[in-house]
Amino acid sequence: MTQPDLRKPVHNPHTASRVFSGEAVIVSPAENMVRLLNPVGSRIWELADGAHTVEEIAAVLTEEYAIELPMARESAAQFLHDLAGKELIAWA
Amino acid sequence: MIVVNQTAAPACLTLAIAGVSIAVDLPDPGWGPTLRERYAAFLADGSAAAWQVAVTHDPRLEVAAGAWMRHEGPRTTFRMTEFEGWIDLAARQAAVSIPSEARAASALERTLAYLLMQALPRQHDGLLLHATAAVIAGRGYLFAGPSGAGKTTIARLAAGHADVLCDENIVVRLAAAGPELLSTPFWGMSSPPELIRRVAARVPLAAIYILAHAADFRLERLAPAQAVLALLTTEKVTTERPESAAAWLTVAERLIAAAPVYRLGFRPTTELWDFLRGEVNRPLTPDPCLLEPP
Repeated sequence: MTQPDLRKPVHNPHTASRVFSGEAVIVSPAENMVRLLNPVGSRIWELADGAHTVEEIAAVLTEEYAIELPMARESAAQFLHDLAGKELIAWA
Repeated sequence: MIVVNQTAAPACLTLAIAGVSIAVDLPDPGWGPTLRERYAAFLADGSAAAWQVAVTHDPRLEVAAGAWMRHEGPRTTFRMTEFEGWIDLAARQAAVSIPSEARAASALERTLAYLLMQALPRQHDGLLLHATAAVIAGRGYLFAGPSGAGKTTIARLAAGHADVLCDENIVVRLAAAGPELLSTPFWGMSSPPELIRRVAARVPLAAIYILAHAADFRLERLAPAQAVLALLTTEKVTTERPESAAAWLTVAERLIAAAPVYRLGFRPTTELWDFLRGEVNRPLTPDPCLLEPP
């Protein structure tokens, strides 16, 4: 059985973002880049507030998007890994 | 509008641009007449300018050098090809060194535009956008886009159809009565001289159009995030600092809630104005659900 991921993602303070009607716009000055996330990615971004664990974020996705928990865990972990790789989030 | 004050000292101008007053100290009174004439519509009383900008003369800057920009806290230090300086957002002061009087207007305008881009969202509920604005029947229409998108073309097509506030830099400000457009004197450096009319004006904002060259006219209403993204991608400066970007997004959120944003596909003919009038005056189609009895 997969161990719950208890890490807590948090936005890199060197970014600025806002969610507009469920879609997140992220400005990353270090990259001089602006990103628009899809609705699921935007929800993960909203929950990456330093208070929710990856496991808790996966649970929210399960409830809100009617997907199985294993897939939600995998999707959330992979997406957050990508965001961390771009230095848009850090781990609290 | 920008206000420049020319009364404090012979070598001082005070400009009022979009409600932001900026006192500009010149290195030589001889530089004043040309700048006063250029910014005549934006001259103001300098007794209580919000910003102080000191201009100095440094002939060594005639030797072109590579451009760079550095941010440290509220202070930005920069070197452009032929001028250099700094802007302190906290102290509301700036300085720019210019190699000659001939370079004064371009260096001053780039410095002031940068200053306004950073200061307006943080301190004045406004945005300086890379845009053209046209006024029709007292209402303002903003046409935004990156270089080459058609801003100056829109200004050129406006003759006889609309009054142009500026073809390059327009301020959008959130006022109590709704969003409004304010002109700036910062026209494009390569704009045809016959187009340029530096007027200080403020009009209510009716709509925002993101320009796109197309074979024919078409209008597409943008969803909020798409609208913000489209406006952001016309403007790089604001995204250089997290604090400015956050303030920009806050103002933009309120702006797009108050004014429609469209992607406007257009070809460069004056039929544009007929097309826009038709779209603006088209009655809204009721939602079919609303036509059914309860």
